[in-house]
Amino acid sequence: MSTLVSDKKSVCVDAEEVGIRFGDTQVISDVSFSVKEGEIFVIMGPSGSGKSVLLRSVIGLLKPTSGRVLIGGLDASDRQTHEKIKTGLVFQAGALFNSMSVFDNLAFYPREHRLAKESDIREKVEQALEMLSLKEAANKIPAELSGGMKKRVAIARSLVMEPQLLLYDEPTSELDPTMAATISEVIGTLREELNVTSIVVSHDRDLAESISDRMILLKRGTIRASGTAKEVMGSDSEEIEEFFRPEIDVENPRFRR
Amino acid sequence: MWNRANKYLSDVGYHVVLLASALRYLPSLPRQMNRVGLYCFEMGYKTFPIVAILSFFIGAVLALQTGFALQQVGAESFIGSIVGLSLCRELAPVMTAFLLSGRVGSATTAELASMKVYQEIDALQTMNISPVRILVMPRLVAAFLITPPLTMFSIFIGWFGGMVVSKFVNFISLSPTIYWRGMMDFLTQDDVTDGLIKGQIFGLFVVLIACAQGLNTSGGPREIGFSVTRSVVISMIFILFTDYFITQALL
Repeated sequence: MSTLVSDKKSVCVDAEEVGIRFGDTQVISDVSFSVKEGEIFVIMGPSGSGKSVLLRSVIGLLKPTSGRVLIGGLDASDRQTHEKIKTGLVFQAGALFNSMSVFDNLAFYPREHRLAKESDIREKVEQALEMLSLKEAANKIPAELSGGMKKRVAIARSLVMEPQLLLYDEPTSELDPTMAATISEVIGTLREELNVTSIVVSHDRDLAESISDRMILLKRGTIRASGTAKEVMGSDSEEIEEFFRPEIDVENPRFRR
Repeated sequence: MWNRANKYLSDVGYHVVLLASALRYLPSLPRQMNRVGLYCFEMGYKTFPIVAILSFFIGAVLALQTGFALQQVGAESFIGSIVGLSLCRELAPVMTAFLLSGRVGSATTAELASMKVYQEIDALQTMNISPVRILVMPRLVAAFLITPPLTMFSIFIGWFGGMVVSKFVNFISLSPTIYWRGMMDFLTQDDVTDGLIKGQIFGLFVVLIACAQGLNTSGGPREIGFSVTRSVVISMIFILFTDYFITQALL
């Protein structure tokens, strides 16, 4: 466990009036929030609300059209920020390297950056595999894994990076309830044991209620509610129901010719 | 019209930027010799058999066509020089580049496009690992190293194909000694060198185009197929288009 703990402190994240536009479409409008060190912050909203786009701007894969995102006080869109502050992203579909075994997927980051001797890297990878109950999958390739295992491998790969900030994009999507509960348990355990700041993007209400310290509700690119899960979910149950209601009438669907 | 011109120019710009970025990472080459070796093996070993087959038959057909025309005026002894010059100055580098595009370029584009679509490229970026450094630069170096031997091999096999036809086709029946002597009388070292330089330039750009098309893929899995087709078509047009100018420059 000890070698997976970063020697650097976890960081805070501040989004200041972030706006993101693709062509004529405004995807995110004036979104501001702040995440404290060691906190689990959930960005929740229905499909197409701009959650993943917002997450990509935090990791620096996307530069906001207006406003800015700061990680530990540094601009997230600057690649040098991510060299100074270790940031891990658990992708929705895992984004594992398909040509490599699970073990090599985990060892890839420290090997490429020559962070340690090969024996130390192996030790660190084995610890991450054990922590996420993946020891038996070490020599398999990603194509041989189930959806839940792929998510756990993606989390383990991020852990080997010793992140100060860990981002999760829909960590429980496409998983059965048991596996979803396991993943949310893993996220909580990682925060407790590693004290890493976590931002979780999800449309899973159970996940948000069980793990979040604070959360925001996002719809059509704007924040509709913010606070603790209890404050947000318990404020007005009808409003929350309305919030998650699909924008198409599933009782009487109409199809355009 | 303006939009298409704009798109074309931005595509050209993207290739130039990608090449410049790859050159910027050249100092990291010693650390990446394993990858270069692997790509050299893939490009060389996998293209080798098909280059042999194609070059043999190109040399054979060339000898057959020229043999048929020249025997009517009793000038069969010039077959060797015609086959020799055509193959090393033009046909071998162009055909090797075409094969490299179809065999290696298409596979490279498919691999990189699939990595892009399935977010593996994004994953590399979040790890502060440049995709250009580990995916593009070693491939370009491998293409630069492997194309001259491939072209040379193509030239030799083509010459051999021409010799076999000259010897065994009844209406030509040229002895191998005359065939080789005719070739050596006209061929200079510069002819071979020019062919190898041409092949090397083509090989480098075929791989650059393949990498650019792969990394520039966006959308879903369907786009992977479109990118592969685009990569092969652009490479072939590029080869034929620049062939004229490179030939003129080398004359």
